[in-house]
Amino acid sequence: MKKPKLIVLQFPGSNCEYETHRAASYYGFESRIVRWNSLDEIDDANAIILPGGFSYQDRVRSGAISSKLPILKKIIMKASSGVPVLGICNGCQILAEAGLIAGVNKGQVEIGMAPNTRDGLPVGFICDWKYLVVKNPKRSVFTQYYDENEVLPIPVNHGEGRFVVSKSVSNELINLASFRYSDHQGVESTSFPINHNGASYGLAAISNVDGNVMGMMPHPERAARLRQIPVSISGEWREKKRQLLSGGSDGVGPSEKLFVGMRDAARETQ
Amino acid sequence: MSLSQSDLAAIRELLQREPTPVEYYIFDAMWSEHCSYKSSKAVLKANLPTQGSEVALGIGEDSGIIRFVRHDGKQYCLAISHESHNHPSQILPIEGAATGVGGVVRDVYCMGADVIGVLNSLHFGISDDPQSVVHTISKNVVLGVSDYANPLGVPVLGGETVYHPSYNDNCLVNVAAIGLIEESKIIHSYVPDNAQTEPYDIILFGKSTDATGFGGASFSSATLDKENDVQNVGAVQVHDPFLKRVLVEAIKTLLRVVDEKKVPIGFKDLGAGGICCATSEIAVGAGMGVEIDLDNVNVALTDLKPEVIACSETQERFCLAVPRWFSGEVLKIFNDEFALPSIYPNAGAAVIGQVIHENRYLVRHRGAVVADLPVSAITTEVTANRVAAPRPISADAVDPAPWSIDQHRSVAERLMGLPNMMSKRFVFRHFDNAVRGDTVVYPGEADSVLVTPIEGCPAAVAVSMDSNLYGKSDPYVSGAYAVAEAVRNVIAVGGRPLCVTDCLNFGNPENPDAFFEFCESVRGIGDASRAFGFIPNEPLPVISGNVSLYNESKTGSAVIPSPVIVVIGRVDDYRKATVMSFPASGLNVIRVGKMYPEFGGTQIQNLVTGLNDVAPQVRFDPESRSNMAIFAAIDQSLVAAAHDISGGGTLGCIFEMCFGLLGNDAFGATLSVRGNAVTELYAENGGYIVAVHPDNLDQFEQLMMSHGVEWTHLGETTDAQSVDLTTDDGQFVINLSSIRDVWNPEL
Repeated sequence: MKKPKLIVLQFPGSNCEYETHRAASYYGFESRIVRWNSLDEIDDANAIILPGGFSYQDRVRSGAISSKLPILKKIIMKASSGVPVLGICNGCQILAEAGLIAGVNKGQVEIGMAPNTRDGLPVGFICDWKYLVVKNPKRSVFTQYYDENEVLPIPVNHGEGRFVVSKSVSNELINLASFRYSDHQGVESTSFPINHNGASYGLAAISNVDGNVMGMMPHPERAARLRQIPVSISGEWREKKRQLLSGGSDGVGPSEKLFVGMRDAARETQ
Repeated sequence: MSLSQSDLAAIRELLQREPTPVEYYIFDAMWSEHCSYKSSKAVLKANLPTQGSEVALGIGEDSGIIRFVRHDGKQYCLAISHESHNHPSQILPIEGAATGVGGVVRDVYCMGADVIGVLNSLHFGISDDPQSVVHTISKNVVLGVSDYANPLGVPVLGGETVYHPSYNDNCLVNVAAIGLIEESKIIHSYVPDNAQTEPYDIILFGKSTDATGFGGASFSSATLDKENDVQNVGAVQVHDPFLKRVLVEAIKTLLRVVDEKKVPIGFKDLGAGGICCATSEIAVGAGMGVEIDLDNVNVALTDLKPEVIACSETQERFCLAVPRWFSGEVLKIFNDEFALPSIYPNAGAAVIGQVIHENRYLVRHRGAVVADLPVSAITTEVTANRVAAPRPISADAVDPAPWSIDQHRSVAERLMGLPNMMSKRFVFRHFDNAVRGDTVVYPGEADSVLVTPIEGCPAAVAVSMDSNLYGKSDPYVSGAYAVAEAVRNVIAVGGRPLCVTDCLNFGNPENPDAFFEFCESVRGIGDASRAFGFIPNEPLPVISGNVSLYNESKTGSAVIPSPVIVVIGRVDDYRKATVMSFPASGLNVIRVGKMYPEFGGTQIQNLVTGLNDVAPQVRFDPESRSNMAIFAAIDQSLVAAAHDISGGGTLGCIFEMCFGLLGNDAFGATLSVRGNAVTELYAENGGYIVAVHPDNLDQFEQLMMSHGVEWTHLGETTDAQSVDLTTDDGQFVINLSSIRDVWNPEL
């Protein structure tokens, strides 16, 4: 079968495009990195990822300037034709500013990505490993192969990762949430330290109403392979990593099902 | 301005006239301690081994380069630069620390390498006063490092945070950057030979030149003085990691074209002294001259004085020497493809001059010649003869008196709450440690962080950055121990040490006491580098470094001798790497190495009085044997966990192995030590604690014996949440949950 074509978009200030490209290639995409001002190069995309970074230095608000670039119009068209679009970290911030998530009221900005807080006070940039619990897996192509309430470890690296949602979306959160922060046994919490950034509803990722666009703050490309997992987390993945460091072999990581789900959805658009 | 009257007299003698303002600032930068190493060069040359069979590029250009691994027919190398940004961080902590990162990564990018990680060594003051500026500085330096490294997209691969009152008036911010490059693609910092026969342009690219960082090199070469605050603030540069990230992507494109078309180029970053230093050095390195027209420089403001355009240290700039036929393509990459002028006002690339065959450094501004120097004048070696005044070093290593069990328990319970023993996660959690996706062992999980930067290749870079607090007791030990510790940290994960870099932070070299400390530390680094080589009959080569003097204020005292060492190593296969935390109960806990009653500068000195002031000596022969033995044991998969002994001694080391990074899921230990209990538990002589599975014990012990190494069987790991100790002073139990709270209150 021909591999679906994935575009990893490079904005000025993106900084996760290469590892995202590598992870996607590993999971069966024909992936390439395309610059923000190469408008014609995304026409043949079967899937699009907006990677992490600090595009336009987070000026105004993170993602705000990138969301006004001409290439975003093309991405919106692609998304409305059913092409899966994933925004990771800064990519999630761009999707929010572009009104692509949550898509309850089409074209409106419904979500703001605000600076991290703990008990209402700023905490700055946070680099950590968190656990996510899967929600509404069948409503989004990205979670379609996970089970409801499945738990996966994943890293977060952001200063502005706090989902703040408008009223129209808050009523829908229970249906549109794709991942929420939890402990390693899947116990959810909206407070620190489990919810390290103060996000509404402990939200780590949200999909659009149509299920083909997802914005997530954690980094699946950094949990794509077993070797990337720390030994300092808890649960089964820690034991797998221990075995790898005892001379085992590298394998898939916790975000395998996310990339495979995206790939299979991309095939449908070929 | 810091040129002395005697410097000015020497310049007049050299030129046979008064220098112009632009020339004045060129000399001000080039003859500063920061650029000229005039106090330190002779000491460094006499002591540090710099040669080695795996050195691809030694000291002399922007980075040193060591061969790393051969994979898929390519020789991969690591380019390393190690710098300080102490004075700027004391004045403007966020900008100072951020531009420290920004400057050191430029040194690596301009070799043609891609930066795969940075490390930082942060030294902060201590004050009980919550209003003290030391707290603001420590907080904002951390913010500055994260403000730069995170947006740039380079992971912070570790480092250290050290607290001592001697840093109250002078924080230290040392940063090292590591880049990956194929040996055949190394780009040099000078004009290539082709410029002898064809026209070469000088291209400046990056941020538009402004007035920031004017006089930065000379400001870093004097003691900080409150009266100069306004001028000093202007001498600090302003960072823009966002723009740098775009530049880095454009540089990658440029270098790809350069490689495809085999274009010979010279590439240099702009640092101290700005355009003048960079463009003169790029030409001088090839024995040629250069002609610059300041009117062609992209500036952020109109009416900047020529000396400001020529010498300001505006960040995020590089210069290139390229054949003229290629200049148009270079401009197109930066100005059109990556659209720099649309991203930052007046940013971009421009041809600002050309290489000339005369021995001249010529600068024009609005049609007039504003500098005209013989190249030899710029490259003149300046030296300053400094005097070292030796001081007595304590050598009276007497055993401490026995302690009561209550005293033992009280000290053990407070040890992990000392500022230098606490978990530093509250600092490094602000640094992205996984961008690029190559991190396989994370900060705090082992003695070195591991990254696998080559797709499909299991070789991992192991890197550690270390310093210590022994310099007040014995500056020689501070240098030797820093190398020894960094080497141990690489070996404890299963790495083979490859090379050393150093950053030497000291007081005013014109003060004979401070200069003695500098000389002694360098002697210690040299001896240790020769002792701990891993290739037979070779030293660990010192391939890059930096000297930061004048770390004292006019009102305060100097920093304690603070040599900071980076050791880079290679783990041949990351799947054999060893981490620090105990993975199970029932494992043998073994100490490799011997402890001595030497307590100068140790952590335990903060908790009890009456201990001697002999710094922990580095005993080169036995430590080298221990290193080889542990390396072999890890290679043969005989070790389940390994951690080096340093600050906090044997007991501190074992507590950390119980905790791991987070202190969750901890294992305890039952231990028995014979001999003087204080020395055995708290001395900080070099050694290792390892956990060995009972099935591997015989083989492990035979290996130690064959290497002629001393080891002590201390006990075993347990499922209990406690460390149970039997000593010559009696028995006591330390509950892990109680010390976990002082070790990491954030948990």
